[in-house]
Amino acid sequence: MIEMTSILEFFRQDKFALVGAIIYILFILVALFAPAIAPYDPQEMVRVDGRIAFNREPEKNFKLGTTNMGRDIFSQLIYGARPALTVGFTAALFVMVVGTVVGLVSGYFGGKVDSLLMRLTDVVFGIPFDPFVIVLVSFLGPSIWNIVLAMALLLWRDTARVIRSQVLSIKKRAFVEAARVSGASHSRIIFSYIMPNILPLSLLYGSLAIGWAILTEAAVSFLGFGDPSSISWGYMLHDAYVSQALSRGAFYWMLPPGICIMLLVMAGFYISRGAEEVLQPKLRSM
Amino acid sequence: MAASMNPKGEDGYVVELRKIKKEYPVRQSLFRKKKQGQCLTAVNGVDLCLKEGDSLGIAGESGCGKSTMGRLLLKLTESTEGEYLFNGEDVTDLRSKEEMLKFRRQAQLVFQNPFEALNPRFTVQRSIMEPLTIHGIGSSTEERLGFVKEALRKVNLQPAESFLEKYPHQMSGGQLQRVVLARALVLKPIFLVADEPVSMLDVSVRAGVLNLMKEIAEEMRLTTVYISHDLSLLQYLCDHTAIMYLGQIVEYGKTEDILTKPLHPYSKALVAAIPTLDPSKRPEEVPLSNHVPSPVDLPEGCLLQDRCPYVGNACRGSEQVLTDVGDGHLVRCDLVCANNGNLKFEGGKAV
Amino acid sequence: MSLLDVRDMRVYYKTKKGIAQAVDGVSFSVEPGQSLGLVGESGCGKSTMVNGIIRVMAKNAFIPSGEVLFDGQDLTLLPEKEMRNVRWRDLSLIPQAAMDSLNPVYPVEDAFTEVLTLKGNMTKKEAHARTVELFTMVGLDPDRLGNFPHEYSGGMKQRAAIALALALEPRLVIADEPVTALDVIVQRQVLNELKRLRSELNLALIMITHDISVVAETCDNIVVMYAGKVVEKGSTQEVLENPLHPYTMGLENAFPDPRQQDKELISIEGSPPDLVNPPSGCRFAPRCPFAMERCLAEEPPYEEVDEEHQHGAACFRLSETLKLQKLAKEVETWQPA
Repeated sequence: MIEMTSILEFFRQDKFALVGAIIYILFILVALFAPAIAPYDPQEMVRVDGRIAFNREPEKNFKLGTTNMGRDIFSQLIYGARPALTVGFTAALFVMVVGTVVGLVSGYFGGKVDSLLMRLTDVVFGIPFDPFVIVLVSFLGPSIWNIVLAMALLLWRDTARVIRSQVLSIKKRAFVEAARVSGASHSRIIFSYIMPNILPLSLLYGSLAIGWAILTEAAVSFLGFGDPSSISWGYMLHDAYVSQALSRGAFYWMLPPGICIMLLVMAGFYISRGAEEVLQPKLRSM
Repeated sequence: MAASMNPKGEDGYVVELRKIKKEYPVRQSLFRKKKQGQCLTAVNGVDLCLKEGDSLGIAGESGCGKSTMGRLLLKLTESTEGEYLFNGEDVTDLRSKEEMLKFRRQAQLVFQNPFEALNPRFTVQRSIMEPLTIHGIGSSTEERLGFVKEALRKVNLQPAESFLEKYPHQMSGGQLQRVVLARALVLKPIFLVADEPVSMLDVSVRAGVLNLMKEIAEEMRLTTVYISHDLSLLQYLCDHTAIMYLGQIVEYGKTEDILTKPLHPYSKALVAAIPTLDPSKRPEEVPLSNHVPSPVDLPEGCLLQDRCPYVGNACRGSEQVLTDVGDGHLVRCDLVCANNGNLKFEGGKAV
Repeated sequence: MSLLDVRDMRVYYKTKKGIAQAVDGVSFSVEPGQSLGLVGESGCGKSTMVNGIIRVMAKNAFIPSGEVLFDGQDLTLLPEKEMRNVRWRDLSLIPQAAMDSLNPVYPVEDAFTEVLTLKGNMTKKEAHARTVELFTMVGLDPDRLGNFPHEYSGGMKQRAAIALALALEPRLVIADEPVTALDVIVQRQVLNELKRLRSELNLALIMITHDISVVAETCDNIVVMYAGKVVEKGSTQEVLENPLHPYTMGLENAFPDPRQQDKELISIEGSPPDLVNPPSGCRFAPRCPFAMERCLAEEPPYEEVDEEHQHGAACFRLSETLKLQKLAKEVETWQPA
């Protein structure tokens, strides 16, 4: 059981979670102030002395060099934080909300509703994730919102399972029974008694989903199913790959987006790892 | 006024149970659902009548059905058979929300574990105010707050103001149980069930909570049912006591009578086993064997037959009936009844 | 020489708020074959103390001072390796919730085989024979050795836990709330079993419990603890009939007794002190109706009053015992002023 107010305390105590939070905050700032930080428009073919600057190596004006189309890699990297975070946070929000609602309803009402929802969850568990995203995106068109939709459709499954089991255990606790004796309605019991007690857990699964979503968007973009209108890190990797940047030894093009993806995903896992310890103190000694 | 177990159609009871039965279906395996007729019988045809101000203790070992009884009385679980009249009205099946709310307002529960019974995220004020909000009692928050303070004073948490903003983890077990009691009383119920109300509390504070419950029940003329495995507690709280065994009441009478001269072999064993500060005063032990039958597969005839040292052929064949042996003392044992309650057991033999 | 002699034992916990003095200067002894009841409410330090004796403590607990002489040997100085040999062989523990201490995925016999072969150096065959013997001894059917713990009832599991503690014929058994979770009838059977085994095997027993009536029925001597200190000790009968410390008197008042129908239940107001910042004087003084100024300022030393029953208490008002006993029986005495 953790109180929402203890979240601050938790970041103070868990150094890893603190590092994760700082990384998140940095990336959010970068995404918000991208136009101010980036020296060029990421789509712009930069000209130097009237000629497009192709395949430049890092130098003073192009901190990370340019692409084969003459775009500034550093600016792309900065702007790339936007789709990453948009996908990450919206997908995570959907995953959290859908998963929590399904888990709550299933666990609280039980019986046939529970059987139905849990069998549905089983079906969703049977769908392979990455192929599903690719198929959906190729049907609905390449847009980051379709990637978000694909994730919202599938990734709630873990959250729903875990929330359900948590609801089952809270439902049996005496204070919930006490609410029933007082005459509280189902909605009152769910929102005032059960919901606050499972919120930390759904937040934990939400933060895990952020990492998943960012990875998925990168993977899909890298495979060439990404949104061509928004430059994401996965798209940058794809671009670099198809223009054979590696064979030219242009590590300054491949590495930075890879590192950014890794950092953001890692930050999400650090936070959730810390949160897990708070939720299950038994893990602490391990 | 004594509660009678076999009313002759009398009115004026707060609680009246008629042949109440609770069975749980038993799943045989993961894939085959219930096998026909396989049920776990938790409560097996109990009759009970309580008038205003009556206090009844229900005692027995774990698994005897006493907790299920409490849940049935509060309609936290539905009975499989039988009727339940509450204040003269049939509440066996409450279909409408209004009827249910009306029942909930009048019947309240005190929980076993005060550390669990309060929402850890609610302050004392919010916990006690919840029932008022739910039932729409009081026109304003100020008025409700007044009721909350009154309830706190009633349970001796004074000054009430100093407890309003506290969270459960800031309070001791004894204080928490008083808050639980205040929450039950704030609706001014007429019927109160207490399930092991002090078993989680330290000995030195138990007495305070017990005495308080007793005083309040008397003052408010509450009809109360106390459920406990500890017979020695019931003598402080209840005029009458029912001993349950495998879902049946095997003996019922004045608490004092049950403690001093229990008649049913099971009650005798139960009473003799209570530890006491003065071991020299302990009555002779009744050697019950440990062959407790499974509640899924109950024997025919007396349910104690495989454990009872006095068992005879008659016990195995016919079902035992709860019979008055005089003075409102009821026993479910043909052997005892045949001798008008004078049957004595000594050294493992009926004398 | 006493079998176990605990002298001025202290066990402290490091907590966030500071150091909690959970056990603070406790002394008592157990003779061979004797039984001792350690009584007190939750948080009085009784479990912490026995865990300290057998040195199976929580990570944040430590023993700042004190001696635990078992057969003249100080257990607090023993290296962990040797201590492991002492546990089970010389003294064994029936843990609280012993019923859950059996591993649910192995048959019950496996726990016995492990102890007997590893600690007792027996062959598997010998171990089996000994297990059958132990089962018979505690009144369990040896046919059920191969069953899993969940197939046992609560009482059977408790008996199995007792049998396991007795496996290597220790001279001292420590039982932590051995019957609390059991129903009265089974509780009675287990207590009788313990009593019988004690006299047959000449076993010394320390029983930790919050229930003085259990001690009254099973133990020769009693130690009453409050907030980490011994407030009173002596022979059980003497302590219960002639209590010296106000806390003991209060505890008896609070106990319902089915054989004393007219007895009025009186509770002790207040709650035990914070052990990180205990009161400077007697730790019971803030709740004691007889507390004087001196009680709040100074800590009362333990004094023996009755040599024959080794009966004594830590209280400044021992000379007025009779008066206090009489007052303690009245409800008004215990009501807050």
